[in-house]
Parts: sequence; structure tokens; C-alpha cells
Amino acid sequence: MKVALELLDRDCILAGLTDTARAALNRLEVYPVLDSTNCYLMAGAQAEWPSGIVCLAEQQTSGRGRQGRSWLTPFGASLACSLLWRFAAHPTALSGLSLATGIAIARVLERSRVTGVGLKWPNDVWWRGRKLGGILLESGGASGNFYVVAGVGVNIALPRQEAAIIDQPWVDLQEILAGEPISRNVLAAALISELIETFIRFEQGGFADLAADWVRFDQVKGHQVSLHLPDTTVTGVARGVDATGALLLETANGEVKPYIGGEISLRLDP
Amino acid sequence: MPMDIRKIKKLIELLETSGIAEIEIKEGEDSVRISRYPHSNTPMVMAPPMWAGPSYNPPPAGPMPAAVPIAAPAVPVSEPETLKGHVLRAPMVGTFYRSASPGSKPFIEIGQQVNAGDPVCIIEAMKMFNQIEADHAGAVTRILVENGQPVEYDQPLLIIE
Repeated sequence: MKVALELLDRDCILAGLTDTARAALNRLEVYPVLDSTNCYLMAGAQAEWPSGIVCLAEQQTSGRGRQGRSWLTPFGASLACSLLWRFAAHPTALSGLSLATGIAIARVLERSRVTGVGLKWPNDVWWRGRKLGGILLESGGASGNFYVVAGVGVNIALPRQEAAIIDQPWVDLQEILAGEPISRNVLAAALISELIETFIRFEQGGFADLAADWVRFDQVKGHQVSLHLPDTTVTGVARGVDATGALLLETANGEVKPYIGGEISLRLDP
Repeated sequence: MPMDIRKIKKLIELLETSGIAEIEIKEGEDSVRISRYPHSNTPMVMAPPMWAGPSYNPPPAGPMPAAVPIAAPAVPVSEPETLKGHVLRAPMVGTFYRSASPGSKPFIEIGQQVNAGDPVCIIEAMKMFNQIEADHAGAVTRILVENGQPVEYDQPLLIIE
């Protein structure tokens, strides 16, 4: 099989950024190999690196998802990108940021001709019930100097052999776009721009400003779902999210309650 | 009530003076089980309720003897009335995790020395994993929340002395 590989190019990505993103960007770093882009920026955050640093890697040797799950990043086959951002707001004001990050990615993919892209609460990037991308948000620091590292992984063209170990339905852009060429640099630039602009917007208006977009991408609303919490499972009908981004679940007795998480997974009934 | 109430009272007294956790007596078809703990099969953990303030509150008055010597995990509570030390509180609502991922080493153990800024636990909400840092140097003397449990805003998480 012949595979066209477009390597990530720092200058090319910089040239593709929006003016707003370029103005807010402090540094853009591109690496052939990193253990994980999130680990790299978390260490930087703790070393007082400033806001607005973006880092990409062609390959991650220990790419991570939530709670230590591994995230497959073979060389050149995905987009692995993390952004370090500092917030002046109190951490409690950032509750919907996780959803906002998902919205940013979904918007970029939609503009990149991926029709039918959606989100599974809180921020799995989905296409027809299969996982196209994932997000890992890590944060820390004291109030007033709170930092967030937003890590994004998008499957571009995963080698079938290596992807065999993925333990859930997945899809990559190569399959969705059916042979149309994909420029990883163009996509990276769009993704970084949208992430930065979304974070700026979130700082000003919080999740409320993005709620309408959530409704557009929400793929579980109205469906029967199971919500797995650390020590219990709740079932009900998903009723969207509240003003903070919490999942609204209607249980059998008609009661609607917000859920902010735990070790959560949602399952759509077939 | 088939069993004599005076007999049950006697059993409670026996339990209180003996130091044993639970007693079960059978008399023909009837049996009674008396326990010093609210849930007899989990006689452990959580000396103070999770929302207890910096000063240690005795367990709420109830049918149980008040001064049940339930130690917090690995920490003898010898002077429960004045719990000294610095209380680290939850800066946000979420789920409390002691390690970065399941199966990995906890950030801290009881007795461990920490510096201000050291990560001590994670609170997760909507898949945002917030690393909580020690805001005070000292030894961790108590961990007040169990791994995987929900925490409220401002809830005490651990004590550093």
C-alpha cells in the first residue's frame, strides 16, 4: 500500500494560523518523537512556562488518554497536539472547558469536510458512533495562576496493523474522506487556531457562550444511556447539558439530574 | 419482639465493655446481631465524616457508643478533640483520585513529607484532571477521602502537619 506522508512543518503551521491565534501564541514546538505532548507541557507548566505554548509530535511513545489509558500515536499517522494555557479565573469557573475543547475540534473537522462529526459527553470526538479523536485535559496550579494543558489526538491514517489493539470502535480521516488528500499541516494550523480562540472566548464568556454549539454536536441527546460512576451505574435518557456543561440525565421516574463525572462512560443502545 | 428486651440491653452492655465489634446470639428461631459500627461488615475507615472541619468532631450521637476507637487508615487518633495541622481543601467539585492513573503509585502516603507545590492528588470533573498541589510544607498525617469518591467544593482532603 502506498501512503503519502506529509511531515509536520513548523513554518507551514505558523503561516496557517489566524491572526488572533498568532497574537496569543507564545511558542510553537514540533517534535518527531515525544513521550506525550501533554506530559511535556505539564512539566513546562510546573516550570512556570508562560501561557500560549503549543507542542506537536509526529509520534508519542506513551500517548495517554484519560485515567492512564494509552492513546495510540504511530509516526505520522495522527495529529497529537497540546496547548498550555493559563487562566486568571478560579478553577470552579472552568468546569465547561472540557466540552469547549471538544467543540473546538468538532468545528475544525466540520470545516475540513467531515460531515456528521459529533461529540459524546464530555468530549469524545465521534463520527457515526466511532471514535475519531480524543481529548485529555490536565490542569493544576493555584487560583489566579491556574494552568490547563489541553491535549488533542485526531486519527488521520492509522496503520491497520497497529490499530488492531484499539479496544473500541474507531475511525480515521482517511476513511471518512475516502481518499481526498489531507494536509496535516493545514489541519494542525486550523486546530491550534480554533483551540486558542475558543480558550480566549471561554475566558470571557464561559461555557454559556458555547452552549448552542454543544447542542449542534451533542450525539447522545435524547438517547437511552448508561452512566458509569465510580461505584454505581445510572441509566436514563440524556437531556443535553446545563449551563456549566454537566450532563443532564432523566431517570425512569422522570427526574432530571446534572452529572459532572467520575469515571464516566456512556453507551448508546443499538 | 420475641427476644427479651432486657436480654438485648445486657448484650449491648457486654459489647461495650468487651471491645469486640459485633455479637450475634441465637435463641431457637430468633437471632439478634448487635454491632458497634453502622455497617457491620465494613468496620473501618473514615473516622471523621468527609466534610468534617479542621477540628475533629466526635461521631454523631446515636445508638452506638460515642467513643468508638475507629482509627483512620494507618493513623492512630489519640487526641481527637484537637486535630492540629493544615487542612488542604478541595478547590473544585469532582472525583478524588490518589494517583495519576489506576494502578499507578499514589502521589502521597501517610507520613510522607511534602513541599508546597508538590502534587498530592487529582480531582476530576468532566474529564478535566486537576492536579491538586500541597499549599503547605510538612508531613501528611491524614488522608480524609477515599480514592474514587466524590468531593464537594472546599471539602477537607488531607492534613499536613
